[in-house]
Amino acid sequence: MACNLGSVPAHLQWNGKPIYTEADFANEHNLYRLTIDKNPLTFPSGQTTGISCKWSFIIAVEDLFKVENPKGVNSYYLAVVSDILSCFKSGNKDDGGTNLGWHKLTCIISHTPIECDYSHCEINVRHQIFEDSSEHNLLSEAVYTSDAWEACMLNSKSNKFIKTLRKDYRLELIKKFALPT
Amino acid sequence: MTNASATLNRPIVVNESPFNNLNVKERGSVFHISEYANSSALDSTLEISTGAINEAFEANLDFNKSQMGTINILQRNILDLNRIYNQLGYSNNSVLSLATKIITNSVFEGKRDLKISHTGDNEILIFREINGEFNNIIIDDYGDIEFMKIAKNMQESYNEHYYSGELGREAKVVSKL
Repeated sequence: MACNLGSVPAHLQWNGKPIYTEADFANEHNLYRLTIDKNPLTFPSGQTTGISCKWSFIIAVEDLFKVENPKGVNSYYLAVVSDILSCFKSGNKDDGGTNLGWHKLTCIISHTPIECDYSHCEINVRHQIFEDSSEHNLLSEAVYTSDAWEACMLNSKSNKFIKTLRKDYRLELIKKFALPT
Repeated sequence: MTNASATLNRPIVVNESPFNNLNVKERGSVFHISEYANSSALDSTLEISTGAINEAFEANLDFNKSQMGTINILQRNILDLNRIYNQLGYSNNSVLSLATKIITNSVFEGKRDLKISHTGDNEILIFREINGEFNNIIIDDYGDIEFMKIAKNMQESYNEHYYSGELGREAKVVSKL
């Protein structure tokens, strides 16, 4: 299905153009997160998810609001790819329940174009569980896309440790972004 | 289209006087929102909010007529909250009561510039912007609360967690908002 919004410049429409890989995100590239009234927590609904971004490799700042955007967005934050990739939150789960060990959440950037926004990408979540804080012995690993992350969050809501880790990770990620100067 | 989203398309008729449905008692007050002619999901949740507001009124003996100018603001905030609550598909009424009390007590404290929204993680968001900084109260569908301060200098941003059953948590987050 092609983009049917005439206002979107042709180079910013997907139109079957290739999807880039994680390795194509250079350290110096920027990621932009659109928000409502500058509050980084007010992520809009629609195709844009809580982990949606736009990629400077494809879109220029002046075009951020020309592609398909959810209603209400009027501001943006930006971050450097290297900062996003260095973002993490970790902690030891020793509550006597399941999945005990050293939990670590980190970011994986994925190009996920939509028809009227070729620059669209998402900051997926890698969840690793190690035996201990030395992070030598990996017990399990999963990468969550936005839908899977949401399902994971629903499942984790009854566990205080996981819930707190998730929320603290969100704050760490938000802190990587800044308003444009 | 759900009942809730259908409701959003209907015009909101606000009473001409904010006091039409407000009967002040000797001790505390009674608050009532009744601008919808037809039954809907929003009407149903508004009843829950109404009960929570009345509890907050009863608990706040200092409330008097001089503060009644805040009723319009409170009414708008509560309507926004109920829209968000239904939009998120929440069904835990204790969460709605909790959010209603936080909003009501914040307005009592003179915080008239509240905004009600939701996060990208499907949580209720109550926030204020003060000099370019954001004080956020985030409530999930378990009734757990996170306070998140977004500072101008992002590195100074921080959060605090207040879980269900923690005594005095409502007052704590209201004071921080």
